[in-house]
Amino acid sequence: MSEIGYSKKVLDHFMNPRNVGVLESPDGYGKVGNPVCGDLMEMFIKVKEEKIDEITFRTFGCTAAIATSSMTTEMAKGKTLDEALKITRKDVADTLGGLPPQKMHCSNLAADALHLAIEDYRQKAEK
Amino acid sequence: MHANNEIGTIQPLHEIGEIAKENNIYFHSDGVQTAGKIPVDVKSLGVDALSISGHKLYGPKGIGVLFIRKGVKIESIQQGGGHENGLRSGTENVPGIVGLGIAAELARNTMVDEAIRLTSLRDRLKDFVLSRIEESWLNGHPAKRLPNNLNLGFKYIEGESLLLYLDALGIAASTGSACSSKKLTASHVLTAIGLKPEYSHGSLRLTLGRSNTLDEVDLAGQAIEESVIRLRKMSALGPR
Repeated sequence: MSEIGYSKKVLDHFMNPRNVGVLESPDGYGKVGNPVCGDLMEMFIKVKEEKIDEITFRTFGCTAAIATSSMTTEMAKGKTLDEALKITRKDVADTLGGLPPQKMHCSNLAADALHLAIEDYRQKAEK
Repeated sequence: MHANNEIGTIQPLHEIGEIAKENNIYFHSDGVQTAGKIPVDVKSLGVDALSISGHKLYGPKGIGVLFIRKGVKIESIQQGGGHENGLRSGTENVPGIVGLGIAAELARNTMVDEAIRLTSLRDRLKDFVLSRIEESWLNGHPAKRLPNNLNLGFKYIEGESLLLYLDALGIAASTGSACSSKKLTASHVLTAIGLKPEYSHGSLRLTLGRSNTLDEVDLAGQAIEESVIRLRKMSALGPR
């Protein structure tokens, strides 16, 4: 499997993913991807004082998809919503020590799911 | 091809050969997956040409065979000193040829028994996995398939991630998922047999060989069960 070129950190987040699961009655929920393409990600957040208090994910996808989801939850936990919105796909990939070029698109979904969850929370909060 | 390398299904070459003959069409088949594993009788298969690969019968890599029926004329693939009746110039790979010859002899001597042994191991693994894991299935023909090939599908999980978990447990396999291919498209074979893309992504191909034992097969079954359960727990397609 070494020819795929996954970094140690990616493999760590893949073998021991953090924050896996569903949050009951989440404050915010984001879903991106398409099972037809082979990638689907869900992010659940609970917000306290405009900070991400709890965050979990579920992913249908490859090693990179699972690792980037896990890393994204780790990076977002405890941050303010504005700080979390600033987390980019590149940030996630860099913090993981980089991804093989053909896997970079997997990192997109994780960050996007996080942003959608925050937007979902804000839309709900406005009502 | 005589048998498909991904899903192991053995094709009806004899019937295809008859159609080709009736219509004056030259018929070449890729016998790489079947030579040495199941009987390959070029006369009864009705092929005009057939390809065989040395390493697929435990022979050396870098050597193969092209059978051409007498009377069929083909063009030379490379020109030069006129070797191989002018068809392929270049000094012959003698060690390769000798190795391939011995490999073929060994394969012929063990083929029938090996086919029985491998079929039994293959089906043992298939039955274990399909009975233990819900929403799983076999891709390809259940009976008319290579003795050593198993291709299984699992809903709600993706193949490349399954491969890595299996690798950590000492099992080597392959998958038809898009994320595992360079072109990022799902297996064209699974697509051709009508499998939905989201189910193609969850496919697992395992092949057995001479060195595989019953214990290894049982270990593989447990590894697959463990890995699929693990991935389904974190899948966005799982139940809420």
